Amino acid sequence: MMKPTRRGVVVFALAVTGVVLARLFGPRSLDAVAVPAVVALAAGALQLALAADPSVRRRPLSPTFPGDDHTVSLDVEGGHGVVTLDDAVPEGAIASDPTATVLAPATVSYDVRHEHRGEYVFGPTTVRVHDVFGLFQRTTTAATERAHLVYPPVHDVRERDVLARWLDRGRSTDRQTVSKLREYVPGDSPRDIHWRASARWPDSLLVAEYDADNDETATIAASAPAGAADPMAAATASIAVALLGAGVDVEVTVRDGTASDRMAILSLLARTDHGRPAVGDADITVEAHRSGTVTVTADGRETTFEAMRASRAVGLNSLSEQTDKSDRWTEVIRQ
Amino acid sequence: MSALRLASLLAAGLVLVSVLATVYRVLDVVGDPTDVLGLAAVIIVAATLGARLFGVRQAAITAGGLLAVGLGWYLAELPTENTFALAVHVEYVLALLSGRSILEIVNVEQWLLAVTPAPVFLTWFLALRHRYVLAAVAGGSAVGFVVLTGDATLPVATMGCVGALALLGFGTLERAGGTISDADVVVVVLAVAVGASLSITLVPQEATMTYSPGVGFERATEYATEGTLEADLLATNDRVRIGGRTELSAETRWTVESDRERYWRVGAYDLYTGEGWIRRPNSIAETSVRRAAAETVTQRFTAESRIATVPAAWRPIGVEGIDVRTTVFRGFEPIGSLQPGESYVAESRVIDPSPSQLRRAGDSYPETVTSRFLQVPDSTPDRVAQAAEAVAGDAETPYGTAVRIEGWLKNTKDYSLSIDRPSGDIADSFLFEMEAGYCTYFATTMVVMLRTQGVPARLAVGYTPGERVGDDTWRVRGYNSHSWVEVYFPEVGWVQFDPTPSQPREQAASEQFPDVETASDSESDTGENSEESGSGPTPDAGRVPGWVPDPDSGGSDPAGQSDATDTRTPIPADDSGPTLQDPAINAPSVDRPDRPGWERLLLGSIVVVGLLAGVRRSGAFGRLYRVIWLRWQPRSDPMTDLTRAYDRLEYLFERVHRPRRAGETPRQYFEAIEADERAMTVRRRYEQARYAGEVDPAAADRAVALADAVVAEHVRFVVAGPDSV
Repeated sequence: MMKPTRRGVVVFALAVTGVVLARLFGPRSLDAVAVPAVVALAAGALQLALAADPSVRRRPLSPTFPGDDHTVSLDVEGGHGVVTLDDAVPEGAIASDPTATVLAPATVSYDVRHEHRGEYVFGPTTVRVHDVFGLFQRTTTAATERAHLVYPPVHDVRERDVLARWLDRGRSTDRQTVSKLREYVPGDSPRDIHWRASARWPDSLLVAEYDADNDETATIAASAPAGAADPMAAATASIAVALLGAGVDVEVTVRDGTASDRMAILSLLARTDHGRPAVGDADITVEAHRSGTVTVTADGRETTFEAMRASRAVGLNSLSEQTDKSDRWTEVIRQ
Repeated sequence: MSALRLASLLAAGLVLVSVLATVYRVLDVVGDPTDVLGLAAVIIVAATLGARLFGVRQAAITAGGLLAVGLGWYLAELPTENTFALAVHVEYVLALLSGRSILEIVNVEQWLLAVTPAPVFLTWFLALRHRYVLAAVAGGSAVGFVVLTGDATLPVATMGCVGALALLGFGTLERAGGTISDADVVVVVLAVAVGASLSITLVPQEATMTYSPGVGFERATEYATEGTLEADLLATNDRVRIGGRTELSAETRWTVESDRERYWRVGAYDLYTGEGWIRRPNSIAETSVRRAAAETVTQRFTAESRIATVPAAWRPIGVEGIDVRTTVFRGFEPIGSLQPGESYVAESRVIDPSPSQLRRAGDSYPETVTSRFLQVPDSTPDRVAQAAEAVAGDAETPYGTAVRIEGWLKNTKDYSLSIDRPSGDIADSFLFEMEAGYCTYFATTMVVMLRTQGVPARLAVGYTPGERVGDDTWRVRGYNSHSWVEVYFPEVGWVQFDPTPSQPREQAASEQFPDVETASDSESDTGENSEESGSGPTPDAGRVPGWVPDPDSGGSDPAGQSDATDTRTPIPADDSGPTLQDPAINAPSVDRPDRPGWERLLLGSIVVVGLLAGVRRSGAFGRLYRVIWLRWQPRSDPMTDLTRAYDRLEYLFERVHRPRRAGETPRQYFEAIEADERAMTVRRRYEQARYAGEVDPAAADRAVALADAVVAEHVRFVVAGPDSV
């Protein structure tokens, strides 16, 4: 439904005032005020009535880690006239400027940062179409809801006593028998790349999976009381990523479910809330406490996660470093 | 700078031009207008620098400061005591907004210098900072003010309002990241707005109220019919409107009983705007020392219709019987209006100075007189002064100058009510471009000519004596409304002159209203200008009222009548003024076509740009290009020529038959539509050239010729090349 904007009301009031003052004290040149105002109002209403509503689509959002800036983009297409978008930013997200005025077709982007993990739903977007003078507007809502996952922060795990059993084995694994070959996925350890097999297939890298790996899967059970889910998730994610990076299969169980590969584990941990998993015993137990400390028990030994981790949260950087190294290897191969 | 940004700044410039043009026009009337241009340049440079240096808030404070300082200076310079009485100033502002011209402000040059900088600075600053809506508000307020005071003409007001609208449109687009091609909608709307504003009347045309300081709001009395001379002269008590074609009204206005026959004066005006007259308020009491013989004349005025003027003979000293306000120059204004039958008594001191007295008066005018009654607009052409000088000739005294000018105007110009209002200065146009006019034109021109010669003069309006219906009784009608001249002589005061030829004036009235008895006997009087002095043989018939010098009767006492009570004014002996044939003044007016003012040029260009934008948006340019492209092929190299020849044919067949389908080869296509042999030849040559990679020039020529021929059979107006078939 077309409605006048504040500007439109003011212009209309100007025209009315002109007529009233002319009636009171004489016309003077008040036609020059009233007539253009009426012309602009008529033209604006006509333009808006003829303008089609634009379609607004949100570009996909890839998961991020806390503290990282990512860009939310909306594509505006079709329609005429001036379009103002107002994106609904979920709570907990710090957005730079979710409102913008553009002429269709255009793309509106703004930066967002999240401080905590979770599933954030962006949208819907309020779309206001104006005429070119800004006198009338029509408001619709574009269904652009999309969930965005923020993984828990992954810290570099330095102190490895508690996990020594799995990590050492991962390093000293006999790598003679290959149980299967699969394509390289960013995040795989570069040690697992089977160079000879990869040389046969240009444009691809193959990763070998070994027998010796298959036997044991490290199971992690994580629990947390209300309010301590974040430290629990961070600790579990860090441990799981460290193990996966060492070539160990991991299975993470929390109250909400179980996951085995890296993406699934991170997604699960992004969403999970406090609670206790249903599984009985696990190789590694991660337990968060109300104070915020996280106890990690494995192989009979117990320690806190703070003691295990590096002083700074590495998160995406460490993973991307690994990825970068892999890419460099990729370049070498391809040349 | 993008084109859209430039357009936005031009829009802001248009608003400023509108404001400054109005200020310039006002200053031109009262003084030297070039100061405001210098001031505007300084302000705009300051705003440009400021836009780089500080923010909007500081700019607002600066503008407020400029306004405060300016107004403070202006108020300090005012000659009155109640400088800081807020209520008075509020009243004056309300009066301005209700239609009083800025010209009525005391010390208007200083006032304009004080208040112009702030809105100019703010508007330009805000536009430079991309705050277009705020700029439109700032500039628009200034435009609105001058529109409400009535000083902005319609074209100038249109410029200001359309400029503000353009700021809104271009500004919105610029902030949305558009380009100039998105702005075509805006430009089209602007062009429509300009055209509509200049041609459509939307607002009511009749005022219902007036506001005066000290009085407040009053119902506007409409007693004089619009479009009549009476309305132009007397309807509004603060200005005289000079119109074009005008009419006379026959409504009876007054019955006057008086011992002496005088013009019944309503008021006078001192400020000549070039297009009309305005009365400036005057806080200094007029004083004049009188030595000439004066006597008191009592008159009784009885209103015969509803009316809101209070005429009285010059020089009135009091009015009794109704409530009146005194206006400056000893005019009166009734509080409320008079109903038919209401009457009042006016007392006037009447003087009849002799010509020798007037000649001896000299020219040492007091400053209160020279400051007000020598004003002519700065833009008045020099030739007006030159003509006045030539007409005055070798007159040695101001009195002689006045008499010469009065006589010359009376003899040279004809009287007519149906004239076209000139577009330029009234006095200049009347002298050099018009052959006839009515009383306002005659009187205005005489005042202006006198002022250029340094003789203080002003316009007086009121009624001629009217039809004499009894010994001492006159009947005054609407068509007796008249304007004449008052000239100041030191130690005598204001003396009346009337340059309008009276006989034609009476004739015009009697022709229009033949049933009304007029002094038609006066027509039989030979060679004398006689006023309407009654019907029938009375001693008064054919006599010129004593206080109007009559240069035509060359020194002799007219037809023997003299009345002891009315002193005749003897005629100056040396009346050897210029005659009708004087070439210096009566040069045939150059038949110059009226130049359209710069305002119309500017507005016209906006309309033209709008039309072009509209045409472009409708794709007409593209279509026009196509039309020409099909019909005319300029030549370049053989390959291009051949390709274009083929393209033309394909385009033609697409329009005439059907487009070529995807996957259809040219051969299949041409065969399917049954193209004739010539078209096939062109197609063959084209395909050969494309695959061979080169073309024989002769073949290309032939192809073009064939294409021309084929196209010519289907459309008209093909421009054929030299080798056409």
